[in-house]
Amino acid sequence: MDKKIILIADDEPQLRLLVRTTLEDEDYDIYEAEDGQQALEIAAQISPDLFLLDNMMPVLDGISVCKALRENPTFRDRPIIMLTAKSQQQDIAIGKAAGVSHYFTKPFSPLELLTLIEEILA
Amino acid sequence: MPMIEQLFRFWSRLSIRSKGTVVIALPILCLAIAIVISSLLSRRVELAEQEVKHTQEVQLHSEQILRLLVDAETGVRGYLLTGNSEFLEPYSNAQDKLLDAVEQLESLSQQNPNQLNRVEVISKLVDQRLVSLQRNIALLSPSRGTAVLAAEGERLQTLIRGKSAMDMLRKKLGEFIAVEENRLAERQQILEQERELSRAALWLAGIIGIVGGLGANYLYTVSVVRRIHRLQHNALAVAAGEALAEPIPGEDEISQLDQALYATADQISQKQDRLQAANRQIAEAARKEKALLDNSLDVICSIDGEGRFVEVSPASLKTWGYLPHELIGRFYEEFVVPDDLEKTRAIATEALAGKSISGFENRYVRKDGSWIDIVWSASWSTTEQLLFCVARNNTERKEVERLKNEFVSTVSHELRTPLTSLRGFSEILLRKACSPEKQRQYLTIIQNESKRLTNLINDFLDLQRIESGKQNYDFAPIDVVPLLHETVDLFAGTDKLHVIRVEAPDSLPDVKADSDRIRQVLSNLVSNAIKYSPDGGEVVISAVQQDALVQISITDRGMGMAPEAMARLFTKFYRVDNANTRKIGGTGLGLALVKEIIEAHDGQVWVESELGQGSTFFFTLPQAIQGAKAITNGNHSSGVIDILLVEDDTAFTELLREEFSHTGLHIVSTAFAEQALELIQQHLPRLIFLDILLAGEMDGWDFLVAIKGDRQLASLPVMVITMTEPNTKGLVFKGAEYLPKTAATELLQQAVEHYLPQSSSKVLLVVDDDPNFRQQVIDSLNETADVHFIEAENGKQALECIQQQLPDLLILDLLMPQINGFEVLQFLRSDRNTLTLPVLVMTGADLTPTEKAYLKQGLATLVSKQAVGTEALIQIVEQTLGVVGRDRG
Repeated sequence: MDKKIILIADDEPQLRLLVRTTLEDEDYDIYEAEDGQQALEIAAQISPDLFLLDNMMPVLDGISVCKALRENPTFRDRPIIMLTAKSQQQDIAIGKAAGVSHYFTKPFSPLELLTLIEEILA
Repeated sequence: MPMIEQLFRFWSRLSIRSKGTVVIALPILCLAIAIVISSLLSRRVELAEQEVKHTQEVQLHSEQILRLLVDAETGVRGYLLTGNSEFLEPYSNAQDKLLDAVEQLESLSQQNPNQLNRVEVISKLVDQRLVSLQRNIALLSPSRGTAVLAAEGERLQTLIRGKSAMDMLRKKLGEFIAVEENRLAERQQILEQERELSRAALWLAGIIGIVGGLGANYLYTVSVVRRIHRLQHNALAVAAGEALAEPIPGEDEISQLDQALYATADQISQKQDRLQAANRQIAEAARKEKALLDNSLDVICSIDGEGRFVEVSPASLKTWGYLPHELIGRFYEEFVVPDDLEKTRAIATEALAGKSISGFENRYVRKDGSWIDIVWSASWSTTEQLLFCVARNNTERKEVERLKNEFVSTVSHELRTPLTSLRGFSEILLRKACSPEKQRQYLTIIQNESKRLTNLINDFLDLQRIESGKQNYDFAPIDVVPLLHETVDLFAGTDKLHVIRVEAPDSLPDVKADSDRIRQVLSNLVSNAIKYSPDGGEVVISAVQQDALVQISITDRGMGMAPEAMARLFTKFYRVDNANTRKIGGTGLGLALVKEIIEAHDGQVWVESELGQGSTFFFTLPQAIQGAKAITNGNHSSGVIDILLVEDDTAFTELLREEFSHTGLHIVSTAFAEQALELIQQHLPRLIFLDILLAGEMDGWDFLVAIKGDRQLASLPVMVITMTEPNTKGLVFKGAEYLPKTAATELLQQAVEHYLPQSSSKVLLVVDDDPNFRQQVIDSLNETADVHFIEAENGKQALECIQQQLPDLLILDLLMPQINGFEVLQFLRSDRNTLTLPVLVMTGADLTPTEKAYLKQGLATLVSKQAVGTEALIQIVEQTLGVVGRDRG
């Protein structure tokens, strides 16, 4: 069985490192993007099984990326986890409407994130 | 007299009906009396006439008896002489008639016993005569035969007897008639008297009648007509609202009616008084309302049931760009932004149904086509059938709200991002076995992120502290160049993308600054320069001397910014909005912080930038003056300098200081022209004493050139104190006077008095349209030390007074003609010179919360007019002026 591909998009390098470290012991292929635009470009090439998106990113924010993915038949049903500092009900509602599968509020527990990812990709 | 009085009182107490009865009855009574008298008298005349008639009848009958008897006698004589019985005819005729006549006479004399006796005698005599006549006849009667003839003698005898008997009868009848005639004469006399009396009585009755009529007329006139006229006068006076005449005396209907009129007039005047008071209140309320409407920053308007503007306050020009008359008559809907029309209509329907609306937000199209956020309050008035609305410009609040939301969001992001690393890596370190290298890497991240978090929090707290005025600066003369290098080193260590360098001369004059704060400013600006030039490039920190300032600039070759962003750059929470904003991060506080700090240093901060070309931030710091310290007398927290003494001769300084110690003037002295200039920048002095020879590099002339060359400072009065006569060099400066140093201090005193006329006393301007109240205020405050009073009777005068001489305190009435207190306050607060002029509003009126808020906003202290003369007012004034009462001083 092929390795599952995960794309992580966040402008903060420490955060990308954190996610990578969290998932490094598992059997995933991890790709990184520094902004939303880059995320879409990479996604088109590697067709990830799971997206981890930051919301507040330069060029294209997470919500826009999410919408763009949902419009693409390839990615319509792929799980998208939103990692965001925006924790207000209103923000969550906007995220759900854009097609986010799971909402993860910063700061988060890496173990919980790992558990969730394993559950989704199992 | 008491009786007349009583009568008069009785009369006055009578009702009109009784008076009318009296007035009508009086002539009738008189007439009746006259009728009775005349009828009584005419009865008496009648009686008298009857008496006369009676006598005449008696006379008639008496004469008839006599005549009948004579006829009978003559007949009988004839018979006796002739024997012819035809002669007996008169006798037989007379026989019955005589009896009748006697009978008549008897009946006529029935009431008179004397006459009756006489009639009886006469009757007897008549009977005897008839008997005797019969006997005479019998002498020749046929029974004795025709032949038998009485002797002649006998016949003669008979005749003679007959004659004497007739004479007797004649005599008796004559007596009888005489008595009757006597009576008749008497009666006629009486009748004449009665007639006289009757005539007199008639005259009298007539006169009484006329007098009674006149009297009744008089009574009627006096007691009814005249009083009714007065009543009419009073009634007309009441109708015309004029003063009433004297009250009408008495207790009848007329005076009661008059009293009622008085009561009515009284009530009317009371009502009028109340009405006038109410009108005054209404007028006052209307004035207040107008002042509020005119001065309101919100548009206050009314809209009719169909949605047309009926009234609009002048604020419409500022808010919507339309003058009120341009809006009146037009539909409010015309101005609503189309997208908001539906919800506006919905809310308007609710409002028209009587529901009070507040906080309704929509957007309006201004005259220039731009949109403006409006927040509405509205309530429907059923009595006026109008919707009263207050429309407030909501743009600023909306913007603040947006900025705040964005700020919360940004702060949230900025706080959560480092926290995520802290939590995440610490969890990994705890849960996973990592190599020492990894451990070190993670711990480094944790440490850096902690620092980042700390800085963020510090920024917040700093700004908080500076804004609340709690920041203390530790100013000292410092060299900025090492600080610039320090900052470069700080960033160069972490940032490899940019070339950061310093461009500055080896030495610069020291600046007066707090080095920690300047480090913070530099760090913020360099950090910004780095953040906003994500593609790297040069960041140059440079410093140059510019006159008395040191100017520092930070230049990057980054993205730059648009002019509209530059205008708001130093506003709190503001962040240049572009695609990289999120990545660049920051709290939007850094530049606000920079601005606050630099301004606290009496410096300036600004930016020059071009989109895509990079930006340069500049700030200036004042140079520090070496070895100089301003000396000031006493504790003058206000910061106002009355006299600035620029003099290096300490002995002379001390002398002057002593000379003016009693005046309470705030004297600041310095031996350096440079420091003097700096002091002037901070606190404009009212008068400058200047020596030409000074301690620093600048001398008095340089100082004078600097002052007179500055447009803002040129008018400052400067007294140049010289050892020698002034030379021509100094004379070119207007507004400078020269005093020989050798001159007595008296000259200095004069100069001070001339330039600081109220130098030792405070000026208090009392504005009220009531001169008595102004006097009251002045009287009550006269005890307060050295207060000089100026009075103004309206707002216009007050503003003129203030133009001429700025008072230390303004006591202001609100309701005044021409320009009212609210307007005065508005004027004062819109002028920079009077922005901080203390204002004490004294009003007798009850203020609405809006008005109170308005005064509070205008930084006015509100005191009731009743506080005049109280200790409280004196205390407020003394506190405001910073003086102590004479008797307490």
